[in-house]
Amino acid sequence: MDDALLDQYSRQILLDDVGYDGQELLLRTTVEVEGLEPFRGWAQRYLAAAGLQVSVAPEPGESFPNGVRVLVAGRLIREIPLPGNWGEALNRLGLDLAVFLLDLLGELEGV
Amino acid sequence: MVGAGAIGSPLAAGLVSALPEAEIIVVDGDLVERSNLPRQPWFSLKDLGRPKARVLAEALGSKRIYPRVERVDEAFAWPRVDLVMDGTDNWAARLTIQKFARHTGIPWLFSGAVRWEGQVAWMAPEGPCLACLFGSELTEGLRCFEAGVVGMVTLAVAGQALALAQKWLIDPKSAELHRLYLLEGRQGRIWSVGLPQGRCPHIYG
Ligand SMILES: [Zn+2]
Repeated sequence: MDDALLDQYSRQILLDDVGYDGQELLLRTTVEVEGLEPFRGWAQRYLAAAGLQVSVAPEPGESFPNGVRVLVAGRLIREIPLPGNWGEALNRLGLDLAVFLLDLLGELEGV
Repeated sequence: MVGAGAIGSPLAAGLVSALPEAEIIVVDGDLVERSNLPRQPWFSLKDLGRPKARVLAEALGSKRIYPRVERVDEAFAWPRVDLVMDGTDNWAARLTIQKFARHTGIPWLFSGAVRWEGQVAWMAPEGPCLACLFGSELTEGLRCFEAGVVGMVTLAVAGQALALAQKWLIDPKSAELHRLYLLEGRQGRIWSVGLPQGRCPHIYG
């Protein structure tokens, strides 16, 4: 990371669970998101903002119409069913993406 | 919506989608900084140095969002509103919000996030107030620029705040509004604690 990237991700790097090495791993990792719009789009925004490369499945909405799924290298990592209420859906999405991020960091650091 | 940052951005975006009638005034005097980008995914590198409130309004592209590039302090000229949502990160701004809300007799929504944790509470005009929840000495804990924070947790906090606003619109007396909600992003958990019943004893001039 150069100084600009260090500055950009500084609030994540401060976290023990992420750190400098974790942020470098995130920046080098590609995840795929599919599922229900507009929440798939929200997931894509937040994963990309955290530093991940995000790709979208060819038919992103059809594979999982009940929520959002996150895959790494074609392997399903987390399935996030979402309630119909907007506030509750964003709450669930945020919490599950946080768990996904932590799991992913644990897995990447273990490799 | 006070604050167009990590909580204010997703909350404003969610409000526009969830409440088709709502008109949302977004107040924030700050400018977009590079370190904001991981938690404010409506901002991008080309927005650096521009006012957050205006960038957010442009990014969401809704005619129902009215940006105001101002600080909320004692001198702030409050518009007429039905609800104030807290997307700030400090007690001074929250106390200013609370004073206005109490004086006007409207509710406000407290929210905050640091590291992997978040908190949300509905603040009705008759209580609770910040002193009921956190004691009268509001010592500034670690803020996100010192301790770090996860963008996904700020999204979850915004979602919970939006869910409470939606509950209020359906049933202003809902018991679910009289609780403090605690979010924990490492385990993806949310739980709540009931708040004391009855009118809050604190008085704000
Ligand atoms: Zn009180």
